[in-house]
Amino acid sequence: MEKVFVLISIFFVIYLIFFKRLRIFEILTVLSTLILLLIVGIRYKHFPVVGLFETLNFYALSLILIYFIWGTEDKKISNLVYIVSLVLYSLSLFGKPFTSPFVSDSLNTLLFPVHVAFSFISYAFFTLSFLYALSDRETDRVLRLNYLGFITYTIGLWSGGIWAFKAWGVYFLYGMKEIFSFVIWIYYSGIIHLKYSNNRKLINIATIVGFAIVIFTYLGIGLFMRNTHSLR
Amino acid sequence: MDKIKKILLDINYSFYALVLASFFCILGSFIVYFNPKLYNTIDYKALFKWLYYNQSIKNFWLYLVTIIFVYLGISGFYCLIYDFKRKNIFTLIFHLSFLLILVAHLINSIYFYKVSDYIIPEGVPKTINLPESDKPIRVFLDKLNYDITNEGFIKNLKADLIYLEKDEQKSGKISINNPLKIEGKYLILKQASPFLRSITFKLRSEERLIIPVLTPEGPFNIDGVLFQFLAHNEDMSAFKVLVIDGDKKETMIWSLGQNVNIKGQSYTITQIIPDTIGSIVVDIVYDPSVYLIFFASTLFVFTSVIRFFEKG
Repeated sequence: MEKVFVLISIFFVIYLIFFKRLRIFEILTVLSTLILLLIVGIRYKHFPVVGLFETLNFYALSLILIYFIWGTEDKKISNLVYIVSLVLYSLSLFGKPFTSPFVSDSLNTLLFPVHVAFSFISYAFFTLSFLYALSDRETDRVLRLNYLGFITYTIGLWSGGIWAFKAWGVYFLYGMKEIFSFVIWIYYSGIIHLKYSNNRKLINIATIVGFAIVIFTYLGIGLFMRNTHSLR
Repeated sequence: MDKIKKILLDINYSFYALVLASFFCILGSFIVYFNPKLYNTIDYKALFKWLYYNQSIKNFWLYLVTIIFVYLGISGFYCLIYDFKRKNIFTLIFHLSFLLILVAHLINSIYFYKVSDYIIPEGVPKTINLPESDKPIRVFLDKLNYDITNEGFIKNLKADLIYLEKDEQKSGKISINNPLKIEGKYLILKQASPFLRSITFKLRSEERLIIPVLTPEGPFNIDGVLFQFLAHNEDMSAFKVLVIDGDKKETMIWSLGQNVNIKGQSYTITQIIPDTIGSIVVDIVYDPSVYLIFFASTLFVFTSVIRFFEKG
């Protein structure tokens, strides 16, 4: 049943890319994803950002919303945003909502929604900055989006660190996912310093590489490697 | 000196240092991933102690990242002085919080340790010995509370503990995500599990052989034959028992329907009655850096948000 909502979003997004950019379809895409996440949350009694299906939908929703707020009325960028969203929605069809009757007690904390929501919001910021960098447009916006991504990512990391300490007794583990998460943080802390360098090309290249690290951390490690944040 | 100062304050150098640290961390993550045997204890020891006891060429990335962060620490300190002179208050706090995170992690890398999987059975005083010659923790599981879901899963696990702190008896609660601090160490609740107190093997209608497990002061003696419990399988249907009859020692696996030979007489196990009590499994962590790291990172989050609104 949940996948129907994904298919609805896919329909709207395809229309937005290949036909006409209608505000009403943009709003309906957001609404259908919101309703989907709401249904999953109520039906399976957890904050709906667990596993591949839910995280991809949350990620797509965050990207579109962030584009509404921090993006520009640029046809090329809007098309790129909807193409990425289309990829995210389509990939989510390979997953399913987290339906296990056993939800660990450790997820029963406010730190869980804060950690995952801010992490995916930051991914959305990094994705949008990547799309601007890729199009070689608005370096100031790229830097601003990177900084916003860095702030939200730091909040995600900070809440994850506190949660990890409360649940495992350590705020950092020497695992693939955790090391890469740390890499994203230090790498983007480097990028935000580039504000003062005025080197547009370097900013764009660094942003594109940063996005590659983010995607590998989320999907590469999450799907294909042993880790504490498995998406499988 | 001026040249060094210039390098330390140079934004580009900081960027390349962070990129280099990222590169070595990425390399390191793959080394960790493909060498689980070498790194399986790294999360249980302070980093510097771990490096001392696990000397391997594969750890080169940890040394290089440490060196880069020493450089970034010094560079951050110079930025701090620069921010102070230019009265950039929020940028100053931003850099200060980053330095505090580094200092906290340095403390963690020297003093941290974690010991895993201690079982505390209900109603039995337990002394937990700690590494680094630390004073043992003396704890008593007074009460175990939990709910069982319709699917049979344990939920809302909570335990009431009585413990000694500075020779004074105190009580506290522990649950998942809510550790208990005792003598500066954190008790982290992992799970609850049934704990085997004794097993009764019914041999014939009236004969029973009870083997205590919880307090094995020594082998259990029946008619000169000693029985000692060694292990059991997950569903407690098979038990490994050491039987000592004079000079003869034999490890046997006992399960339902099995014939057991005691003093030349054969008995059949007609019933196995395990007597279990509740217990919790805990990890114990010592990390004196934890308050500083969370204070510094909270400060870092706040100042990054303020800087965004300040500078846009």
